[in-house]
Amino acid sequence: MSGDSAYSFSLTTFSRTGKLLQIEYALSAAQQGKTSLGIRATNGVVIATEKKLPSVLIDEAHVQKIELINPSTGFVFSGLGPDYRVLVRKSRKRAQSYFLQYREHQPVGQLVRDTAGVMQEFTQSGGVRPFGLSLLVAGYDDNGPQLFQVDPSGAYFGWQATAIGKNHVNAKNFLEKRYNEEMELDDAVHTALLTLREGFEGEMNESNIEIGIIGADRKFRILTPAEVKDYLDEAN
Amino acid sequence: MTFCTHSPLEHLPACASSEVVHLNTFVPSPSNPSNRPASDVCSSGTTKKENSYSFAENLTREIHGNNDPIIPWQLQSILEYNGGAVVAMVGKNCVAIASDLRYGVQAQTVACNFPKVHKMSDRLFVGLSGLATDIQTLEQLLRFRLNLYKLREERDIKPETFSALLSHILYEKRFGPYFVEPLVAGLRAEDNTPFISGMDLIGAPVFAKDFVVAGTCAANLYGLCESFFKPDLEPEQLFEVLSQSLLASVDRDALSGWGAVVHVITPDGVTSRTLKARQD
Repeated sequence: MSGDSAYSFSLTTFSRTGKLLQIEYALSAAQQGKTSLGIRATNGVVIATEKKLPSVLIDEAHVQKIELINPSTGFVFSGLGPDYRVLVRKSRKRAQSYFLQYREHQPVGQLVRDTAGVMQEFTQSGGVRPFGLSLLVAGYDDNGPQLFQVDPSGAYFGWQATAIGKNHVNAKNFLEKRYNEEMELDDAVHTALLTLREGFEGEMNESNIEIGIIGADRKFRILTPAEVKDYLDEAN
Repeated sequence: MTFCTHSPLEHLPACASSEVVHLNTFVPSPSNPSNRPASDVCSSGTTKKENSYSFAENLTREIHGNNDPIIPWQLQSILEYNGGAVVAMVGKNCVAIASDLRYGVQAQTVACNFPKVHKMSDRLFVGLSGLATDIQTLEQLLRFRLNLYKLREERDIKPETFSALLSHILYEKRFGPYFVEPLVAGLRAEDNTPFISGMDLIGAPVFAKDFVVAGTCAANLYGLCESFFKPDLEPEQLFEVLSQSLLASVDRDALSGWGAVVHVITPDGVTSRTLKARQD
């Protein structure tokens, strides 16, 4: 139907200046999200995020921003929460299909590439809009510990340490000063907390932040509030 | 009236049939409980030309106890259509895989240059026995999938992973399978430990520590490998054990043999040898 196809055109059409404005808007949606950061240590990776909620009445135990994708990979995001869940579902499905085929966990780099591929597809397909979020991906595979960032455009980068979302510029400056290459996972968690606290409004406690780590055992896990509290006490 | 045929070998007891009773269509009866042909009971008579079976055929019918047409060799499964033997064996930091070279169409040998073992990467081989057309198709498909894997992942595939991939490819065609029984043999890159696996035509894998066999003389190969195999053989000994097992096995199988090729995979490289085997 000509009527249908006229409206199923991509929303992301080039402007006359050669920009894809929808992608830029999606990027600013991501940059307005709560701050998330990641640090790659010698023996693992840590990702952390703010979990500040609009109302004190919301049950914090039911809000989760860090997600496990396969046993050796975890995601965190800044931007639109519902978009994130779509992406997590797609990535998990992709990781499982890889495992079904090869009986081996999908390497982090492959998973990042596939996820970025999905995000790119949503900048070029008809009837869809880009994902309004940036991702941080923490993983450990045969190539060692790795940290990646994926943007709404589908561009992805590997980092030693980085931050996304609100305050990402300040957080990155802070990380640049604090990061060193010999850092171990425990120090990295410590540094992550200090960085998060820099831009944190109000008191930081075990229920308004979230931390995910992966060590040399290659098992990604989200720290329990009790474990987060221990790290917080250490940092104070 | 019962007639008896003259045996082609006169000194043997006459073997006979009548116009009413075909050989070996007997059922035990109170008067003849032995299940032996009634003609054995009758002793003499004149030849009737109705039965054109040879003495050997009549004997076979007597042993088999039925009247089915006798075919020298009957195709049991399409897996046996072309014939062939493949075997892989583990040694100390080495692994060997071998196949025969026959390509046949049922009992007729067509060619003696059909190796069934294929190199997938530097230290990874796959042996495919079964229907020749599917062997070739699957080999091409595996090469295609492996090339894509290498481009996408920028690394060599691990033997375990390759085995899982092959298993997955086969099970995808669960209800219209490739008629092959594959073996995988390789050395792991990280520690030079050997890996072998075998699977059936729908990809059910078996991971062995000693040896895996496939093909029309799999039963023979089991017997010989079980007799000859020892753990931790050095590459040269492994070659000898594997070669002797294969050669002895194919000698007792009409559908495989006509040459053999053996690959020994070691950390230093692969030695491939063609064996000078019986051509009958």
